[in-house]
Amino acid sequence: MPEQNILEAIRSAMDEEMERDERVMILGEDVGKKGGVFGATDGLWAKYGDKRVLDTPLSEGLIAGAAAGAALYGLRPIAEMQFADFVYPGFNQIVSEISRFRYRSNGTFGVPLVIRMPYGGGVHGALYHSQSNEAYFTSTVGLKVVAPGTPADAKGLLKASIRDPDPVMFFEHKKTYRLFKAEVPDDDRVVEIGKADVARSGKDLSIYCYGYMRFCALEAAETLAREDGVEAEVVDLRTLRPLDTETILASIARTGKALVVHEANRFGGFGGEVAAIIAELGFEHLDGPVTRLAGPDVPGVPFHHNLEDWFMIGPARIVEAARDLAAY
Amino acid sequence: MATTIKMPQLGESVTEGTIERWLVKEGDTVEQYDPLFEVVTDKVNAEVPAEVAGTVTKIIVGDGQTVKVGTPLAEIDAGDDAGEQPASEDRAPAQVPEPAPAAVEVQAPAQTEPEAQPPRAGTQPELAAAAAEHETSRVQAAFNNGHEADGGPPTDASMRMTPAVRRLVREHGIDVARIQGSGAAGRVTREDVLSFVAQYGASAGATAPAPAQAAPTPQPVAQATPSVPAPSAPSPAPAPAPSAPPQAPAQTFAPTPVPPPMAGDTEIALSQMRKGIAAKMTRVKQTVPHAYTVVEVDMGNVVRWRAANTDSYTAREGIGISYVAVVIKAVTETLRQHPMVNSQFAEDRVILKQAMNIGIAVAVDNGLLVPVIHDADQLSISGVNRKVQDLAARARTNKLRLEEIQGGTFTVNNTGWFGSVSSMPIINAPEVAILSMEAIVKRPVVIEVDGADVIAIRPMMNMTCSFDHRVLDGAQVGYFLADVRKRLESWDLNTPIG
Amino acid sequence: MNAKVVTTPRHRELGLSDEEVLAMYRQMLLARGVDERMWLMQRAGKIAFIISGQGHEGAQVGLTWPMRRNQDWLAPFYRSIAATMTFGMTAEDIITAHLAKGDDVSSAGRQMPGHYGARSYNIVSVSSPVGTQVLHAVGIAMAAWVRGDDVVAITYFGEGTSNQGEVHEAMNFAGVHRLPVIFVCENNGYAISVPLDRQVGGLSVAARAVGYGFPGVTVDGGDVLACYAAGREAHERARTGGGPTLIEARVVRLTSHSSDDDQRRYRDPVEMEELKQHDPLPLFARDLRDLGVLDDETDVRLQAEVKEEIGEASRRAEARPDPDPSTAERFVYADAEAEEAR
Repeated sequence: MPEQNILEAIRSAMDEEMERDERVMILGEDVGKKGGVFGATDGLWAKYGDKRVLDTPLSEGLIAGAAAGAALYGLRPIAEMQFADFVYPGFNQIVSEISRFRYRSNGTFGVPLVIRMPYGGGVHGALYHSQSNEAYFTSTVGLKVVAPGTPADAKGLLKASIRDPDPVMFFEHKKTYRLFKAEVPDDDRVVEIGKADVARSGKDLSIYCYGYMRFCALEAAETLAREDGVEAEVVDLRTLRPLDTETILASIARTGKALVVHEANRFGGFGGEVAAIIAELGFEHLDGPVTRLAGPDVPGVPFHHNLEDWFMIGPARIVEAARDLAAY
Repeated sequence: MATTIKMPQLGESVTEGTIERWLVKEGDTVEQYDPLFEVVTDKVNAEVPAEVAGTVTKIIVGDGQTVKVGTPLAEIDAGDDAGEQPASEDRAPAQVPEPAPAAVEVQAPAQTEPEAQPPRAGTQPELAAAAAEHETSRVQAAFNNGHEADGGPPTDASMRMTPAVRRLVREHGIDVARIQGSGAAGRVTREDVLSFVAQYGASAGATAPAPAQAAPTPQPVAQATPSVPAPSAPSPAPAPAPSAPPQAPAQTFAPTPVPPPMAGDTEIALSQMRKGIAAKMTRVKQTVPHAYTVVEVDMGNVVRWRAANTDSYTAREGIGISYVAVVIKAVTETLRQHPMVNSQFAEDRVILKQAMNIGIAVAVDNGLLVPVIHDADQLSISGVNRKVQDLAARARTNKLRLEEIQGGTFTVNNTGWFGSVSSMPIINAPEVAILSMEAIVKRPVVIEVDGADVIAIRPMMNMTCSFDHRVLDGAQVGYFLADVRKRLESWDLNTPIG
Repeated sequence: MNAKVVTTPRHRELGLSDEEVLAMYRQMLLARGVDERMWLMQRAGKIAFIISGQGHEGAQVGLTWPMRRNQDWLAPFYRSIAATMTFGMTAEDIITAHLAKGDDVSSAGRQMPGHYGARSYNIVSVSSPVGTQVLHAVGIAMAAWVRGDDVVAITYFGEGTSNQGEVHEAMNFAGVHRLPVIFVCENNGYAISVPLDRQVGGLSVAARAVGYGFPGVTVDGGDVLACYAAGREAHERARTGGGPTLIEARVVRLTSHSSDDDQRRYRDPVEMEELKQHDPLPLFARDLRDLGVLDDETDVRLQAEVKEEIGEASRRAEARPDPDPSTAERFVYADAEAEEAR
């Protein structure tokens, strides 16, 4: 199996899907000749041409709305938001329209599109290039929200998202784009949306995470095993909506202790939903308080590396939180 | 002092760069921010300026080479005091990003002191520690101040239980106070409960055999012949338990004072099992009014049957035929006609158990376990026999599974193997009766042959039934025992072993 | 000597037969009839809400007439009764939607009245945030352009909506790629209560088109044939790769904004009286009489037909079942079964 980083895996997914299904097209700012500001669509414009890898004007409302219209018509558009931070002009289209078309038409209209969202901090991007704003979308009924943490998952889930008849917000943590390489199937393997992955088995506590936090949690788990003899189970949610409640609860039944980790700010963050589900449905298995480790409640990642380091969650913070919980 | 020039990180997520060409050579002097070399990365091509003024003393990596971010490339000697700390604090950009009204490219300004991608390990713990207090701890503190402190782990281990612990002790019928807690502040954790259950069984600390009586006459005696019903005749049962309803919680009494150990005495710490046995026995004795009935059983037919079948059976199965299996079969058949003996007392009602799960007391190192043969009535004699052997062996090697020490409805206690002829076992609550089978001893007994009394030598075995007098009365138990005895005494030589 | 100049009737010049213009007139009568019927039903308490299109029928019928049913696409807004009916929706469909019945083709009773839509007619489901449909029309045009399909998308919106940022984004993009789309702005002078001079800086919506790189034209919504001509030209332009057109149709809003509004509070009574002069129905009737296509007898007949059709449609619509709450959770996401059936 070839080894790819997440960015390459994403590109492979788009390439393969575009080849497989001529209804698939990409639109966004700088996606064409430039190949995207991260290089995600590098080479695709040359291969598929102007009409299928379309550079749009600087209008996120347009990107979302035109993608919606094209999806209604019967295409499978992949819209790229240059940064998740800039999705807001398109928020009206995403929430008012895209998420509701199917419901309001009683099933006759569907919007099979994907909106790719580079998100997350740790890249010196400050307040407007580092946001983790998945919570706006996880709380929007009618959308699906996906956040892979490995190259294989990125590829498989993007394929699944493109093929899904419903709109998918596809969150790509930009810090993971080139962070590491791993094996990626070079065939047509699809990773099912709505299924979490137990990345590491353990009996002492469950760490629920997604995106870049998977990488950090696995590293933290190694440290915990080595230094504290604590065996952490790492559950990579992979899909945020719909949530794999079954896997979440199976894990808490095994360990009794839940640590929910995400980079986005704590209050109102997605971790609250996971924690509530665990507390409500997994109550009889709890051997410790359901705990969240999340970003601080400030309106964005500050720039200076001291400030950014203060903000960002990494393996060390996860180890600390896990230790406390394990000792309860 | 020398400053080392390292490969900068010119774009986010860039990991290496290639020196396109050096713009200076060894020996050249440079001003601060003079261009030093051209670098190519997969995102950006740039000229890298000198951080400090000085003389280029050494070029380490030459033209055309590709190295990882952070690799030393050259040395500049800044002279006397010029440039102590290079401009690492103000990260002079090698490439100013174009001002953008909306989207800004991610190629951040070049850093003159690059660091590898994951967060700087050295500073993180400090910063984490110095980080603003978690909102959670602030809220927690405020909450605790206004309420009983229950943010931290429970301080009274027996009282505070997490949902998981509560559920487990309820499911397994354990008195949590008996479990040693290993969690914070002595909290009984989930692990503690599971370990406890795995080791000692659900109703841990099953009955231990009561000390054998010196006199062969068991006390009290209830001698009932099968044909004589004992209606109003008060059965010579022991003083019945107080007719007042038993107290639901066990009344605990102050322990007997023990003088301090003297020289030569040895103190033995209580094992977890011993603690469990002690607690359970105490509780059962305090809450269950015990009464006892003894019968003598002529095991002649059984002995003959066993002798006739042993060789072929052993050749087939590799194990012998245990008398315990025979007694268990006789008991299960009899329990069908006496369902009240296979029941449980639940304070305001009696629950007749459908299943016949017969526990067998097994002595283990410094203790006792009572594995259970589930649905013993549905097994053949051989089936029960094999189970007895297997469970006993695994009990001794501590390899029983959780389900094998749970769910018992009646217990059979083989006290005979160490020679006891009479014992008064403690009931394995929540069961209502326990049967001990004593040693089979050849004795002279009087039997009737053709209407005349003669003395014969017969293998005789006593059976004692301890019973819960809240549920059972002497007569019922008498009948039960009589039927068991009848089955054993009339054991057919052709009984199939299964 | 008297020379009599024989001129081709205006409609024939436009390629319309007598039957066709009568059909257009009938369509307007039907739309108006349905509209009036629903006001009555609303005032009678049968319908909770109505937002009507009286005064817009001429522009809507005229501009929609050149569109090809089931091939082209419509992205309308809440006043588009006449446009959607011209494109395939029946009187019964409209009335059923207003009654929010369980088998209503637009939304099975999930949406408010006026939120038309029908996959089977290529009419994009209408929502309440105004202007979003303009991007959808552009997206459809873009898709057709990408696929090389012979499809034109037409979208309708008011002059108030024309100021939403998304409308600008949509037009700009359409202009960049010369997409096959027609933008119709029905300017009735009021966005609820806010008049034109507080709404549109340059007072002309059509004038903006030049900034996007395509033609912008203004038509009199009371002149149905002029509207038809503009619509046909725009359709031709779109179809042949000539790109978009912005058509600003000057119409009148004969009623209040909706059944929840009372325009007497903010509109001059003289002005409102004067509006009737611009009612497209009598204006078109007069034009048709001038063209010798319509006479009293035909007019009476058509009106009677329409009345009966509406009566029948109302009866059938009212007899339909109400929505079942047990189905209210369906179609948040695709239903595997339904997808298979598609």
